[in-house]
Amino acid sequence: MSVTELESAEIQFDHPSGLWSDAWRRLVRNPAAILGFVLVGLFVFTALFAGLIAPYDPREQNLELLQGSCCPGPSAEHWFGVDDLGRDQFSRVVYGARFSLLIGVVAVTVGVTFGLLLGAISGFLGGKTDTLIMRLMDIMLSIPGLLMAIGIAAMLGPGLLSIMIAIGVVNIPIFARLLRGSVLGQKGNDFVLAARAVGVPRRTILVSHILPNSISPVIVAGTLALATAIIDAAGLGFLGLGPQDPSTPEWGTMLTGTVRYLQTAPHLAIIPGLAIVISVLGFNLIGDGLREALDPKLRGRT
Amino acid sequence: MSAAAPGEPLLQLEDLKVYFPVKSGIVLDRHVGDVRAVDGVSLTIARGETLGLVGESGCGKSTIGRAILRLYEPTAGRIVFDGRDITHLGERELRPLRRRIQMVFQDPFASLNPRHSVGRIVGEPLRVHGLASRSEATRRVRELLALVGLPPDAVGRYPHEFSGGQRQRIGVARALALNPELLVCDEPVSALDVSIQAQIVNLMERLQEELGLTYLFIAHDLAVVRHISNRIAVMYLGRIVEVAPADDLYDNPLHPYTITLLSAIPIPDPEIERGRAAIRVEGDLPSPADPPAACRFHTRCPFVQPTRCADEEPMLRPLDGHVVACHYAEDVQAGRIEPATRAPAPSFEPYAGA
Repeated sequence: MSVTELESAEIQFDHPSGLWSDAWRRLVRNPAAILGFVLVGLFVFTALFAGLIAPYDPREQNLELLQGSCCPGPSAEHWFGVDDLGRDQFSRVVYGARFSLLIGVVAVTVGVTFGLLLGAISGFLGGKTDTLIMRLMDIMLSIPGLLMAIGIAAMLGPGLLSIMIAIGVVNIPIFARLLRGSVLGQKGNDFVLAARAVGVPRRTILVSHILPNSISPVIVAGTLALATAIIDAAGLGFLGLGPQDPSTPEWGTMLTGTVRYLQTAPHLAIIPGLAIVISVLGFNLIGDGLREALDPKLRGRT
Repeated sequence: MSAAAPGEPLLQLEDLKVYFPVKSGIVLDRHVGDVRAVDGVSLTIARGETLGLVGESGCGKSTIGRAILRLYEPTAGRIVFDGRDITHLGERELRPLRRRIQMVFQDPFASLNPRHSVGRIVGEPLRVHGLASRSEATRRVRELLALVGLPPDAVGRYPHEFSGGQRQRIGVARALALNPELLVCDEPVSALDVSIQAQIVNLMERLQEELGLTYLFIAHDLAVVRHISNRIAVMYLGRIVEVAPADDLYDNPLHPYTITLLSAIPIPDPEIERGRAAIRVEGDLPSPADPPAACRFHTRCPFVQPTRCADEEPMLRPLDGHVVACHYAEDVQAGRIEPATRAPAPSFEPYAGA
């Protein structure tokens, strides 16, 4: 039996596996990532089925509940208490998940889409195009993120959509840089040369050879960016750039409205705050898990 | 210059130059110089032969291989394939030629896309050139895998599941998918274990016989090159210094660089090894961005003669069945010039007193 035969006999033992499925297997073995999935699952579930979970209309005021003192705390009817206008806090937090998820997903989608496009073009074409795009990204990065988001949101006029666009735009240079670096690293690889030698068209090389190999840091960063987007959205909401209808149950806006009652009714601030923490933590845990699962340097340690 | 060419020329390089610009600057790049990786190389490869290309790391041998595939743009000179000038063909016009010239890469770990299955890697050339329908492609891929000695169930597996030698077989299968005539092998075995090297070299010899391939075999392992090549070209710092039939080159090297290169091969007999006077080159390879004037080897040549070697550039000229670029090749061959033991470099003796 030749060495080749022995080797081929050996490789028949396990099932074929791609790098993606390997990564997936590592991910689901990571307890922290599982916790992340649970938290995010809870978050997404709440957002999707808010209408079924929430016992009250989040905008419905019931001033009679406020008689006596402001803002009664948790009770059997109102699990998280009621806010300064007598609205059920639990229902508001539940509906708030919808807005946070929407903002996070849309903002990151905007950032990733344009970031990927610019980064891929920049890294693949190189030369003057690269210099132009990257200097532009540098300019954007030189402005502190939240400050720029405030500027953009103020320019577009306050509102949910402008928050999403503002946060998305702030994310563009981050993704663009990340992907460009990754593409540059893959571009000089022998398998790219081999594809060129075979006559694979440039676009196909980029799409089927370079991008699949450079996308994993972007996936990780995208997951983590979802978390920051939620925080940023809450921050912008807190600063009054969020939805202008004050009855909108957005977590950041809810925090703004309750600052005045911080000493008498801290639960009004703590509960939306906790909601933010939990959802952000969930995405962060998934992001970290993904980083470990996709990073070839950590391969084999789990 | 073809000494032992069995067929008509398949590939000709005429005064090929490949320079890589060196740029500096923060915002605007300024061109500050060139790395002359390949600087005026002329070579002919006859149909059906194997031309070995040897030289130390950084001498430009891989650059030649890649320039032939037009992966690097030639700066000057001509690449003529089967009578057709392909030096400046666009990507579209090159496509039909890609079917005829293929390449095997050095690093079997870097040359296969880790996210593609073996079936996809080997089948890609067929897909790109629209040569086979889906079912035909599957059949052809299995055929190719069998040809290079891989099991048919390798199709659905991924490169990381294979050993280095097996991966190199996959690389060979990909290169053969289009039925090429010329295969540029860029150090195809230097990344492999010695036992696996022999397998791959034997595989390549068998394939050449079965498929009538022509090889440009780039390597720095002199034993492997001697084994597989009909003719060997020796390269130094972007230039060809000697071309000769394989065995002839080893038995009767004419260029001082070839002599030093061959004398660096250890002889597996301690008696002879201890007794022979090794002729060594001094120092490191000069920078190809600023190569020495005239004869590029004169800074390290043990046979260097005053002024002429540093003043006049030696041209390749026929001598004794070889082609050689040295002013004093005859004198060196006849032993009229003794290798100078240059002022010994202050040597570090790690085992002194041990």
